[in-house]
Amino acid sequence: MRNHFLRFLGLHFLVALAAALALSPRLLAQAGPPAAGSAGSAGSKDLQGVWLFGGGDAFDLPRNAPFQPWAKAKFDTERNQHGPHVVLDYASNTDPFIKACDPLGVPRVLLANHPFKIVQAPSEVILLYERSHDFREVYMDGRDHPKDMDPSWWGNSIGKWDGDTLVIDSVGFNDKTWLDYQGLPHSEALHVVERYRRPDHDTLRLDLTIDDPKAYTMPWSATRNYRLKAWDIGEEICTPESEKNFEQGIIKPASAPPAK
Amino acid sequence: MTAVRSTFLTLTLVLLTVSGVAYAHHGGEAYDMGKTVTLKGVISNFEWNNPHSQVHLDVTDEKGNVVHWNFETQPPSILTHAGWTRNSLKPGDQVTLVAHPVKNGAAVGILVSVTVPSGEELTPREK
Repeated sequence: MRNHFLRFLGLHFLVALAAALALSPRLLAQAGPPAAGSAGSAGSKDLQGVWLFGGGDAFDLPRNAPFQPWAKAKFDTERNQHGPHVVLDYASNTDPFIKACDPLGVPRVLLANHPFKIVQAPSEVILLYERSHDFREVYMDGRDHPKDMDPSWWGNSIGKWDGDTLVIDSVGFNDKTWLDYQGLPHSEALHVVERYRRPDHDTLRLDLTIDDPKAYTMPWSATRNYRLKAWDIGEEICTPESEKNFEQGIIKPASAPPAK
Repeated sequence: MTAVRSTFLTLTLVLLTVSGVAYAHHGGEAYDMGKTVTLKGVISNFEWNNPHSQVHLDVTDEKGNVVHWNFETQPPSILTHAGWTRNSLKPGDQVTLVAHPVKNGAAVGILVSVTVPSGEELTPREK
């Protein structure tokens, strides 16, 4: 409960900070267009707006992951309603997001079928996710990742512009999250690079690279397209109570043996 | 036509070649996406909740037996953008509901559409 309260406070502080920065006339001249709406155009460095996954299977990364042996063995033990080892019932489900409402982390949050909002301030980019009402801060002031970080759910993200592409480099993750909904594992050596650009006004393209030499034999990549949406970020929050209610109402009867 | 007959069970199985229904984050493996049922009944409860809203429907057959169905649909954050509100379905509303049923034969399904007393058809897809 305390963690949820602190996260609630933190999120509102960030939104207030971003709003204050965006509305400041002096800073506005440095920051470009205000956060409201999406004034950006194709090829611009303004990616602000609410973006929703553009269709297809939003949930899983490609299954041709170049596993290290232990990672393959761990993946083979994972069970949920996605991926190659489908189970319907909660007792057999091993998904930490379903079982314990653990944070999705990166890159799994990028695969959710809920929108996210990009807010650009002068020295950082803030990513607000409807899925679990979580957020990330991407520092754009030229700093490096901290040395000797404590592993965390969301890691540490720094960003820079490569032409019209926002490049987000993230490390410092714990090893408790899955990379995607089918259960691809990772280690604390996970290094995620997200490259976002705007090929047209209504499209945001993500080129994602996952590098975790302890879990995979080589870096691998995936691509996602998101579309611009007129949308206010809502509360899509996992709680143990809500999951239990859903289990009782849907999962339990749906996973019972067929009636004779 | 009696009240019972006006809500009698009409069960229709239709083979679909393509389904546009988005799978939930829990996955859609429980559902038989190749089958569709159309049910007339009375709303007994509408849970406007995460992780997925639930529509409870009482369906009475010609013999007067009431079957309690429950349907999964999208959470409020998504349904809001599909034109729903928390008051879109109220206990006592007589509706026609279309869904994909679960494979094991339980009275559970994933909602495709529901036509409310005003004649409006609601779907979980954004407008």
